[in-house]
Amino acid sequence: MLQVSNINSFYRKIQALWGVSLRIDEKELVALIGANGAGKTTLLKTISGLLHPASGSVQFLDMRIDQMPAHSIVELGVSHVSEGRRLFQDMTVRENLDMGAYTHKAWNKKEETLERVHQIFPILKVRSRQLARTLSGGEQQMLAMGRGLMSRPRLCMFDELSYGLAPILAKEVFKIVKTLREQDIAILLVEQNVRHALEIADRAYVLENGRIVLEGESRGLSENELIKQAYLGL
Amino acid sequence: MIVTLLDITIGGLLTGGIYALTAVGLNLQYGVARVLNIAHGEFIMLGAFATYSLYTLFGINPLVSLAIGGPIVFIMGFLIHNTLFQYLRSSSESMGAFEGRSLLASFGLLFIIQNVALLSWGPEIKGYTYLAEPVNILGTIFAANRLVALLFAVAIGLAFYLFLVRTRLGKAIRAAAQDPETAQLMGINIHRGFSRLTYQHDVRNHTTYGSPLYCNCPYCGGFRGIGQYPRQFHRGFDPGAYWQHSDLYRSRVIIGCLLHDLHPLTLGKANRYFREIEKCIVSELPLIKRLSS
Repeated sequence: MLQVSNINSFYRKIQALWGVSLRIDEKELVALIGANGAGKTTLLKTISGLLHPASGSVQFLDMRIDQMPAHSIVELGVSHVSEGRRLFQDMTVRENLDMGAYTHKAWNKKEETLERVHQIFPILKVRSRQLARTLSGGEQQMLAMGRGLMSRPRLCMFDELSYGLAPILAKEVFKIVKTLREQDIAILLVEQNVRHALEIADRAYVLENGRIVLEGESRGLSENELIKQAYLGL
Repeated sequence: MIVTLLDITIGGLLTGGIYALTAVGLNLQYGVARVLNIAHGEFIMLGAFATYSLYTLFGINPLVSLAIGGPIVFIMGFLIHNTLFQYLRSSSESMGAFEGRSLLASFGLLFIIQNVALLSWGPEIKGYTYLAEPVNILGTIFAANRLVALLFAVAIGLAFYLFLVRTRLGKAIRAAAQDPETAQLMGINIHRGFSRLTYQHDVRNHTTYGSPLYCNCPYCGGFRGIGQYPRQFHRGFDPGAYWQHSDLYRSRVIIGCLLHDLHPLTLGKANRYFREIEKCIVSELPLIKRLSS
């Protein structure tokens, strides 16, 4: 479904990705793990079109998207839920969700999608008329996820979902991610919470200093000595 | 006493209307198009002069000239944005650089428009009499043209409010103003139609609003634009927030009232420059208060 081949990407003037390749199949849940500054967010931004790679290619559903602008890539079915939630703080919960469905295709089915999102996150229905800035951290994260789903994506990329959340809320969020896969959405999950990520993912990639250093089935990776030492603290 | 108070309040509301609308427009221009348009007020002046000429030379009713002026200036806004600002945007390496350049360019635009107006209409304050009949509101007399101006301000303001809050495009403009990067991830194309559209809308609104003003000189736009800036910076330039938390909108009207009320104290005694300083002080008081808190 998504094929990233050998990309080199720059963040400002510094090269952040060095020959990175990655693949996500239909309905697959793939985790991307790595320390702060490893290039995880740059990779997501390169896929969603906010950054363009200097070389290499990104293909989505057999279409080359690496030089496409971000707004066109959303139309194709790629949704990117940014780190730090990035809500439209001075708009209501409902307006934020509306914006998630901005593309023409999604706008026509907005009410139907909204109902589905409300089923997954019932709290968003209750908070519908509240300004996004008045929500609690967990609710804001749910709104960010809900907004990401409003475009009816085929592939959803989540950047640091658990960041800043209490452990019990983080667990809740991961549970929801797992259920999304059952709705035929492929997921690329970027996480610092490696234990949780490996628990729910099918496969995982480890990014270090802008390079993929390890990849494989999650189960296998959680037994890997390097992962155990560097990321799981075992 | 009550009559004086009413005079001050309603008179202040009339002036406040202009400032409120100017502030909203400026907010929209910076928030979405990222153009720090210093020449903002100049379009009010142009609108007023165009109406003046159409009325005195051709006898065209000022209210009718609104209908003519609106589309013309919409096209003008389109041309300015497509040539000047679009060029600056594509040649700037970052958004920050573009903001700086657009500020300088609009300074140039200000001088050009001012001097073209100076050459065309001369430096004297121009005025014409239209709808000057006195209207009695609760014992206080106002000229009908000022009330018409207020009505226009309210109508345009309301229409814009509904556009921003209710429509898909309006919401998207607010979203783009709050967070341009995330707006792109929603599928909003912030680079093309958007900034141009807001720029055009804004320029047109200003000219439309300037039209019913009955007195004008080539310099009158200057302060109306510039005086808005510090407060805009403070607020973060989101037109939607402007409306949703209408405190700023209200405070803009209140400032307008204050400006109006201080005017009689300085009018006649001091020159134009002193009045500009007075406006600055009154306009920035709330900002200073907010910063200190």
